Amino acid sequence: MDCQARGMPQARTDQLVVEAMVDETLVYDLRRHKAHYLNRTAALVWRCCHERKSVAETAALLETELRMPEAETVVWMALDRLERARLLTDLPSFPGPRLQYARRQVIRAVGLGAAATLLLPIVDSIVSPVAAQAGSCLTTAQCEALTPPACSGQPICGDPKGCCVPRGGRCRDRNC
Amino acid sequence: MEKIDRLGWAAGLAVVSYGVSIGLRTDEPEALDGLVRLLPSGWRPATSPQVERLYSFRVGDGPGQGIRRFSMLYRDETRIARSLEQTAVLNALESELQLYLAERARGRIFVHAGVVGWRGRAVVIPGRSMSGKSTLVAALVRAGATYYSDEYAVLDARGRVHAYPTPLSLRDGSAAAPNEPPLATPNHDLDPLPVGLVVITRYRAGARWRPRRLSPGRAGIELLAHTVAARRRPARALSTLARTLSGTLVLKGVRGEASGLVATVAEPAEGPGTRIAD
Repeated sequence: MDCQARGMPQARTDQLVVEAMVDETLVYDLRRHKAHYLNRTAALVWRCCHERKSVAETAALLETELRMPEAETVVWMALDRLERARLLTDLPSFPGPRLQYARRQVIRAVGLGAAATLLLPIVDSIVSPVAAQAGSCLTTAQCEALTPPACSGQPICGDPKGCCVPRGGRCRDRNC
Repeated sequence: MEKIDRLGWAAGLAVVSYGVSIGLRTDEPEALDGLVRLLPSGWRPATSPQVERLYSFRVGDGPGQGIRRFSMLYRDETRIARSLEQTAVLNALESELQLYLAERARGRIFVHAGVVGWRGRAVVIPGRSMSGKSTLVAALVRAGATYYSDEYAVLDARGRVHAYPTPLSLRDGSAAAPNEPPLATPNHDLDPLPVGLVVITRYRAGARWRPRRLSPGRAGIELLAHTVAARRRPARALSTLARTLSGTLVLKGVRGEASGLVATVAEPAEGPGTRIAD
């Protein structure tokens, strides 16, 4: 099958929380506790996956909405990023090795100017923090009541150099 | 739990704070007041003795009293702190209470951040412990900003920030003497504010403040990394952050001394010597 006519892989919908923020999208994966940031281009391609558009239709949309040259390569690049973030249900049938969708390769292949590189698809991911990671420091007494792996270098309150780290099967307040 | 219940508890209290019910009990009736003082202000006595979480504090012996008995703290049936220094265990309880309420609070999303009010808008400075946010908050307060919080930005469903009442103190090792009075104590009656500016920064000696502007999506994921209930209530967290960041200027960059950044925070678009990159 010619890639022009190739359909897009299906976007994953289960166990996801999606929040659109202007042109961008934040996605929270409830299964893996990861949060993903999709820039405008990646969000557009992901939307096209939801709508089961073809690669050619998606490329045409990018050309119209973002004035993106050689948009088909960019669509494949976005699919590569979305698949790595596990936001697609099936693996796209890439028309060649995936190495060619590395950012530097795409810029070289498409001949993008500096401004246009900002339009390249970006999917950035973070592991969602557990409450203690997003919270404040631990006191020494709290640290020493823990057992590994609960201590992962959390800062110790009042001690700029102190960290709660595993030592001899227990958690201890030690210099970072 | 029965084993701990048998230890003999002399005084206790059930309270509701941020919609969460908590029980506090101790084996020394005189110690109960000290436990209650660790709660964030705005708590009220619970109408039911059934609580979502019970903290039990066993008072140890002071130094020089012969046989040493540790002060102990239990979260339900789990021991979470033990020390010969009672203050250390009370500090652990304070930290534990803050985190538990921050994660479970009804109708609020807690983001680990410093907050000040400036001309009717909030300046939010998210960051982990020791990232220098308290220093920045203190510098802004000295410059005339209203102190809202040194610990959490408490966001409501409309994206406004509420004051979180803890005294502002520095723990940089040099400035903070143990008995030094706090730099600022919050006014509990402060009105909630819409967020005007978010500053994502960390301290690096000698660095120059040259921030870049973040898009709402980028800012959203940065704030999510500091959101206490990100795992427990991700949908609520994301929708609240989206409302908070709608139309809000978000700047990110490394900073040097706090004083160099204060002018920018006060006047983000026209601060002297500041170039904001898009």
